[in-house]
Amino acid sequence: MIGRICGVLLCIIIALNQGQSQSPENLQLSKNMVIENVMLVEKAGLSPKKVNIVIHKGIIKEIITTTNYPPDAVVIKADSLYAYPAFIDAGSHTAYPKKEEEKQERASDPGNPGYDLAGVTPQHTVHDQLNLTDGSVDKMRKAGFAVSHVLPRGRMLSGQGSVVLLKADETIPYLKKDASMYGTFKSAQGRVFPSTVIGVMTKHRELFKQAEYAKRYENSYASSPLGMERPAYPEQIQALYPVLDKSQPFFFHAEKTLDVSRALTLNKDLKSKMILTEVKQIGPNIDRLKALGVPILISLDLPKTMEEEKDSTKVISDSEQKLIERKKAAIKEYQSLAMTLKSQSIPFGFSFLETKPGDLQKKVTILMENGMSKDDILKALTIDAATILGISNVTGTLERNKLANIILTDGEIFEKETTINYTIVEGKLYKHDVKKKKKMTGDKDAKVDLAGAWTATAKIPGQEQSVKLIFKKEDDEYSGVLVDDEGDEYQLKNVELQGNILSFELSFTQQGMTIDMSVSAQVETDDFEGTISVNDFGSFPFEGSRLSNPEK
Amino acid sequence: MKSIYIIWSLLICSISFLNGQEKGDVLIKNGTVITITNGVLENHDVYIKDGIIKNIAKDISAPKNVKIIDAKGKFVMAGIVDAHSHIGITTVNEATAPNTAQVWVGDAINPLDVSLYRALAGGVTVSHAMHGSANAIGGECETIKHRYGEIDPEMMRMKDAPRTIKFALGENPMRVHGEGSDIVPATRMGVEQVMRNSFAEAKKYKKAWSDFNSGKTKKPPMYDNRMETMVDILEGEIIIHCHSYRADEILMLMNVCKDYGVNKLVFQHVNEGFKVAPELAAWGAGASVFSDWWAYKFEVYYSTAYNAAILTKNGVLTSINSDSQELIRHLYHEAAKSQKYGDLTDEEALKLITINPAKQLGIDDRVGSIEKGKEGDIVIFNNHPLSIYAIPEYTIVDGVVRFDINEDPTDMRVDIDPEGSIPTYMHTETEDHDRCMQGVSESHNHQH
Amino acid sequence: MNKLHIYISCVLLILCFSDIQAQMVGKGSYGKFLLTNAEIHTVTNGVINGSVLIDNGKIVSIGDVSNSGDATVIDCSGKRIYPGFIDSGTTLGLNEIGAVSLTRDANEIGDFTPQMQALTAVNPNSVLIPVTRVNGVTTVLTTPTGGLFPGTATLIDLWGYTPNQMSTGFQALMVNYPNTGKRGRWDRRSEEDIKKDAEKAIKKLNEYWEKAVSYSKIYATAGDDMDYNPELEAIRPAINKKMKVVINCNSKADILSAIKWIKKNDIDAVLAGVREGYMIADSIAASGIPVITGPILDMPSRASEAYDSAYKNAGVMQKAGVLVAIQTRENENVRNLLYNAGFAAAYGMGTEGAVEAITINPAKIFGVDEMYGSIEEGKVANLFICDGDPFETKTTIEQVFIGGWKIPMESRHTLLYDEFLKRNPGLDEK
Repeated sequence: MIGRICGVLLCIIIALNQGQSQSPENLQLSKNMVIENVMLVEKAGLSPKKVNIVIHKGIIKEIITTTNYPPDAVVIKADSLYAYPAFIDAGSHTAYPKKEEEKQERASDPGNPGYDLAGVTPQHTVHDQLNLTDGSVDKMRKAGFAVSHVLPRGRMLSGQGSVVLLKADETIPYLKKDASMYGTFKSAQGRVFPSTVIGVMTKHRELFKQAEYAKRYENSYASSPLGMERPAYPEQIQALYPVLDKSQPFFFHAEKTLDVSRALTLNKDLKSKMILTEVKQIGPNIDRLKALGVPILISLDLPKTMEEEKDSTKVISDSEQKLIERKKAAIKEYQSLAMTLKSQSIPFGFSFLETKPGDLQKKVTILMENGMSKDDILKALTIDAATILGISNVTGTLERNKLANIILTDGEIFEKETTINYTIVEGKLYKHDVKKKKKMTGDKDAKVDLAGAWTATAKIPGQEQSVKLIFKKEDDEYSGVLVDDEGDEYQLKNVELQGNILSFELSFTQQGMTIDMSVSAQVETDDFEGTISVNDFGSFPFEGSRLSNPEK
Repeated sequence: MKSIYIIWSLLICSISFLNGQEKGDVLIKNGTVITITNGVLENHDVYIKDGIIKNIAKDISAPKNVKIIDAKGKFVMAGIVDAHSHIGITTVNEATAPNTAQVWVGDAINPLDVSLYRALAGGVTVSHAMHGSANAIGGECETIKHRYGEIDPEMMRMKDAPRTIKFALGENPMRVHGEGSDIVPATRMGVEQVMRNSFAEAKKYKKAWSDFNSGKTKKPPMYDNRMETMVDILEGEIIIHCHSYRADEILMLMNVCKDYGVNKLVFQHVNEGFKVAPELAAWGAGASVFSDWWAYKFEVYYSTAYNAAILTKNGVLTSINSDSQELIRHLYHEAAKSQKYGDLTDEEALKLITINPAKQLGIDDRVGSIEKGKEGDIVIFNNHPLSIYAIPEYTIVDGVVRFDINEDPTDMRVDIDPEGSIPTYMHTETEDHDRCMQGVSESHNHQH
Repeated sequence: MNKLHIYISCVLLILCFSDIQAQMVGKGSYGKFLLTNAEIHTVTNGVINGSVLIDNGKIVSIGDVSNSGDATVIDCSGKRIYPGFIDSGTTLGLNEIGAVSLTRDANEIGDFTPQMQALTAVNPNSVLIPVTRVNGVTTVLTTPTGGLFPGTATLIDLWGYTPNQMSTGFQALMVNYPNTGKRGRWDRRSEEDIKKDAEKAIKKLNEYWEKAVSYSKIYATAGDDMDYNPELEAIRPAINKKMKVVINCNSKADILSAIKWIKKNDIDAVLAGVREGYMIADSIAASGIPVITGPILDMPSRASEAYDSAYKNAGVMQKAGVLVAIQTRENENVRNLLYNAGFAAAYGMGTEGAVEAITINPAKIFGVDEMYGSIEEGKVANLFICDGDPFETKTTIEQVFIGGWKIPMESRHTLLYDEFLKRNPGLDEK
């Protein structure tokens, strides 16, 4: 790991790696691991019991109360910890970094732009795009997830999704490689067909119809090709065969009332095994959903309850108040959607296309405020999601012989004070920074000026490293660079100062590995104090003080 | 928190009379009944049972629980039918090709559109939600019933109404495709060829399938929704509703249709229809016109507000439409203008917005007049509907009162987006006309 | 003498021939007219049964008038006479064909163009004008549009061959008060951006105004020695209260803000548009500022507002004590002023109130009520004869007089009707 860059940044990485390698928990020294004296909740709804969990090659081998386990086992003392099934993300773009959309060339015949321009790419898979070292993976793991259903980014027929374990192995740890087809109402880019929802709907129908004929012809050709024209159907059409015969579920993005109604109407023609994804509002469709047995993935992007107007001097008329109440009621309806589906026994899970994993606890709180019990939520995030994805035979609960997808927490799950200390993904242990963060209270109204040069120090175990930071202010927007001790400059990203809370990010690639750092600190005129977090490696104290004022 | 629920449930109550039922019973007593097809009946009752007009007579008695509306001194008329509108749908134009026959605005029905309620408040019970006029051959349209209050798009459809499709001639397709994409059509000659090519291709497509179905060929042709629709037009299953203005292009389309054996044709706008009224009448084409719109673009500069009268008097099946979420609220007044511009009789004028548009949509056996056995779509006015002082007081769709001026809360939205914002002032001056070109160029939609 | 008269008529006819072709309508006639046996709706003095004598462009006498012999008598038995209707906000004469930009003269480039004069670009031969006036609309305020200070509006009669012949003399400075609402369905700006844009615009408005005030002060001493500054010079009369300022504002918040701005700057102002006036009718009334509202046939301003809020707006404000005039904001269909007023009448304003809103009220607002807005002796002879309630579509407007001219009751629309009702050749005849 000796690279071109020798500055402080590299030192940080080395330091971190050393730190990790010395940690026994993070080393797979043995094929066997034991989580000892843990309070196990085997599956949602059961009460905890004190056991030892024996894990062998990523599988839960035994759940025992004796200490009769293999001598070479790495033992994790978990006396004060709880073990829960790790969460399953039923739909997101985790591990599938966003690429900038290429500027498309103008289609010469906008009415027939070809498959790609039209957004018809069902043959695409997420396989070659998956990056399990992407920052999004660690964020999900930290939030308690061991499995993600990765949906491709794209348009009306984006492609096929995969269910993967959230760990970086030599090969991609698929649980289900071609798990799903992902469809949306998203129109084509630019002014080409289909540019509207009516174009998209008719195109879906046409493609499925084409696939139906194509498949039939291919079958008859396969049985007796003599004298028959070779089928030669495009891969886009062929890719739909598994959806047609319902061997591949069709995850369909439908957020609001109208989308849901339309998706259900569309599926009357497509006859796919449809699973509505990222749903926020179902309107009058509950009976239809029930009758059709269509599962729902609720978007966990739940809005906050509207706050009461604080400014008492502001006069709100009765009619305005009525409008506010209606908005509140609409929000309430979304917040209670899970509860509604539960009461109607409609299968549901959660999707995370628009939700930050770090917000999970906040969203869970909203669900609880609206009637969901902790068990309900855990169930939806584990076994129910596994059932919808068709992986409940291997994960979703912590039964014997299932995958060791476990989270270890320092208290009962979904309690505000509880943190997830470890996420175990197929036996691989990920330790999270458990140091309770010093709460940065911040002062929203504080007026500090960041502009100027600062010296900053990262306190990494074993060593301290100092760098120089230079911030500039233009039109109330900050920008900045980091200068290492060799004088090389690195541009900081997303520099923000809200009140007196400073945050910025920095990322660079080192020998194929993307290093993402983010800093959050509280600024007091000439000093700041906060943390720097680096990829999977955790957070470390980060302090600084002012060298110079901005040039006036 | 509790107070929210109370207010919310009150709110729900206040609009709940709209919800949850498709067909109803109602007895309208002692009104002046304008039947449209059978004269005006003074002091008559109209009884609607299970959504159907059961009886029209004096002194009808109905079962106890039936809702009774006292229409003494009021005017009871068949619900207004608008043969050209764009309300109740979220998409108007798929403006990407000169022929987009494969799209269908019925896929974009929007029962949440508060314009539907506003149309009801203007007595309109049925409207023809059309594709826009960006393409020479646009998409299929949807005839909808204004069952506002229902949130399921399926509830808005007028089930079993004949299929219709939008065609468009002249400036709009020329501008969008010729000027916009540099492809045919840039001229009215080009528009004709788009029509002819499409029909010719459809004939071939049809043949290819019949060859396959009869076993003559083994490999199925590539399924093509655009051509499927075109074939259905050729087979007479779809009524063409064509956006048109100039006399020459109107004649052109009649010729093209004749050449391909298509005989279900209604012209929309058809501002210069009056110039070829004898030809329209002889061909049997309908005309659905504006009461007085003109001069908003060059092809309507040589127009006259007397269009409806000239067409009517020349025997053309004529209706007056709105093409606008504003105008649809007072089509009775738009019809009344045909008395100012051309002295039509009351009956002639009212037919323009009831039975005539119903005929143009192929639904005159179900709506458009007050007759026994027809659907219970009724509007009740305080004054004669052709008077400027006419105010619709009740609008009934399939026997269900969907608008009642005495129970008319200000905020009539039926569905609130949890992520949407609270309504604020929206300026409408620059766009209050029509939505025919909506979706083509968002900032430039003042085009009819 | 008689021969000479015919000769002159012929010459005039030939000279006017090109104009007749352009407008496709006939000539007007001028002189002395006695309209007898009429039901005269004077607006200011109730209904009088009797005659109206028109001479030299003016209403000379009303009521029991005896024919002195030389007046052309028009028997109005069973007919009504109304003063000509005034539309207080249009682009008539400036714009011809909506989609043909080079025929549109209402909107000059720039935010700050107060020196633009609507009267300059009024096309007396616009085909739209005859179409409008045969419906009894004799006078319109035609306004430049666009930007913060679009220019100067002009009140014109719809008869004449030059802008000067059409002009009533009244002019007003137009101001588009910054709109804090959405500009339309296609407006995708966030609420925050809308607010920011509006704040920016208000800042700009204030800057312009303050500049104009300073200019005006300096001008008072420096006079013509000032540098050429047509923009500020155009505002100067308004600063000195020698010109009215018509301020377009529509949302509740904008109207309230505009009223404050008017008071702060002590402006002789008229509010225009005032789409959400009904929400704050009392505040508007208390301000004493008159209102030009419309179109009445308009959509509710918010998805959550009542279907008839635009219909009722004018009536609500008038009931609250606001001096209200009605505008159509139309171009080719200014003729629908009658029906905009009619809907206001039906939805709470009453027929009388609505007639006032398109006759005497605008005349008062524009300060021309000495000459316009009612049938009174000495006023300009702008009036029409009709056979019933002019708001009813069944009513025929039989004859319109503008400035004492008996105008031809023809327009492109009537001429096309005459030509095509029974087309010749008809079907398949060559």
